[in-house]
Amino acid sequence: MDPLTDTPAPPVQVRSPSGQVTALYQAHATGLVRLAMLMLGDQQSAEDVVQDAFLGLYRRWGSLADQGKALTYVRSSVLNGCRTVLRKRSRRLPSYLEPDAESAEALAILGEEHREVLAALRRLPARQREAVVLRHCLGLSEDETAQAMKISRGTVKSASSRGLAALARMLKEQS
Amino acid sequence: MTVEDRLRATANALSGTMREVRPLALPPQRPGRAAAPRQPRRWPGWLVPIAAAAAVIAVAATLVAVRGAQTGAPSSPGTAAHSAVVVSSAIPDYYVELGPSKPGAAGHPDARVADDRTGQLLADVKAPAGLVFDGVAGATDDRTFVLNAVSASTTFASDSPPPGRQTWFALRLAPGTAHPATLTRLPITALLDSDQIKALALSPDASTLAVLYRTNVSLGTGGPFRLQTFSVSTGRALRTWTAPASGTSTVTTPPDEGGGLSWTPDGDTLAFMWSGPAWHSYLRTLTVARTSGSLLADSRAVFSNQGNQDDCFTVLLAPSGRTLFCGTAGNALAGCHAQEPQFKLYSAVTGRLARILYTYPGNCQGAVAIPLWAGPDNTAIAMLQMTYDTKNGAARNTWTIGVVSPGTFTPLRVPASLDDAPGLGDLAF
Repeated sequence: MDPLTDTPAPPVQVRSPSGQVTALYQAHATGLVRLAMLMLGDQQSAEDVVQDAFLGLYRRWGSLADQGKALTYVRSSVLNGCRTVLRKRSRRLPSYLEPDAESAEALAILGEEHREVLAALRRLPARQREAVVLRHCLGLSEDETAQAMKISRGTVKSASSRGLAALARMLKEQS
Repeated sequence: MTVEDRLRATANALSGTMREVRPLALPPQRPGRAAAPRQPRRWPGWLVPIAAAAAVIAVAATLVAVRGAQTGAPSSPGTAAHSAVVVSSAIPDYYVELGPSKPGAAGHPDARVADDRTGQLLADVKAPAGLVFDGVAGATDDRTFVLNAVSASTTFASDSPPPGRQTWFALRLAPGTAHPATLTRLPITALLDSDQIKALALSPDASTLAVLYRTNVSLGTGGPFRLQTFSVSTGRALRTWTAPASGTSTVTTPPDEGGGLSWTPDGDTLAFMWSGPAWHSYLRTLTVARTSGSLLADSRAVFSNQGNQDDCFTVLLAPSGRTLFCGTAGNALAGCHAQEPQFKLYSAVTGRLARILYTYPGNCQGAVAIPLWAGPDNTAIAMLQMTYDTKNGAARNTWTIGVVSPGTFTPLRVPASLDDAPGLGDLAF
């Protein structure tokens, strides 16, 4: 089971690279788009990042030493893609000042309390935000979070605990 | 309700707002020649301890070099002298790095000018109020740079293209004077904020600016690609070439925007990267005096990676116009034994490998090698981005910028202020 999506791994009988990558996408795209949405705030950008990550996986499929680690690879690629998008956005405006990019429809559906949480998440430093999203929004283990972020478990612990403390402060201030 | 509970609830609520994720769009062709995982080398038993000792020495030496490069933070003028990196061949003295993009970071310069051998700061440059620098290119005189800036409120993350026009500046260096860096506004007004610049290149005499960009970009969409040359002194557009944007053919400058566009020393020819179907990347050259207006019809492909991007991931034409630098891209899961980090020279005449300039000798899990500046005598300034496994199974990323020449990679003190690898459009020599 993948903790991002609560779905079983894709069937193994598919053999062609495009079939295997597509099967992996079908099983995990929703969870990965949700991850990217939490990082970026809008579904269009999130889908672009996830599509790019799977295209990269497809391009390198033949040279993967362990295709069982493909999800780990693509999860890291999604995080990298999010960092690139945020980097470009933050060149123009600090992320917490940037206009919300969620669609009006999505904003209307999300309750006020959830919008506060998303806004507070966006004010965290990048590493703390990634650690908090992966550990506490998506329920990855410390090891999985460390592999996705390419950092040590100790750094995951410190980044997520600092992030949670900062979130608690911000949400308390707002309430 | 705890903070953790609120986070989980928000993640679940967000899922409820998502529309159906669009299907994956893979290119119709199969991936280009995919490298089979290489078998581990078999060594005679008596060689193992010798090889292990040599590997330890090589890794230690490399780590010392890499560490040296990454800790060479430039300090403010007037501090103690910096130890200079000894590089035998002629490379530019100075680089310009656009400011770190840490959200909300205070006190960071908008652009930093420093000595690439010592890391010594020459000047910090602030963008005029309301503007942020977006790209930078250097001339061969090592004293002139051109920067473009967009409105601080510009973002491509909305459904409509951003309004406004891009602003252009010349940054002229005068080391040892009272004003070591002077920023002057240029009269170029043709580009809009909605034109997303892919690469800049300043002609060798700094008189002409070439800009490769995609027009009318907003969230997820964009118009055709355009290559334009401008007079730096008058701002007038001199030549324009256009290419339609399609799903699989595009201007490409992997792995990030910037770079990939260069002039030959005579100022007559421009080179740029173009990506076609099936992961084929091409280096195309274009004689600036002739134009029909079509980017592809007026240019010709002088090199193709034959679809093997891992073997030749990034390309930069050498000043001679007869050779080009290639950098490899390894796979973080396959390990560096499957694709050794290398810089190579290819002939731009025959398209064949001329020589392997440098192979990274240490162990690593993955690496990308990127030529940034091409010099004479088979010398380039380049970046090595590496991934290592740690004991607990997580990976650690490092990056080093240095001078590649036959058989050597000498780390420079560039740049020292970023804690992540710079985007290629953020750095110019």
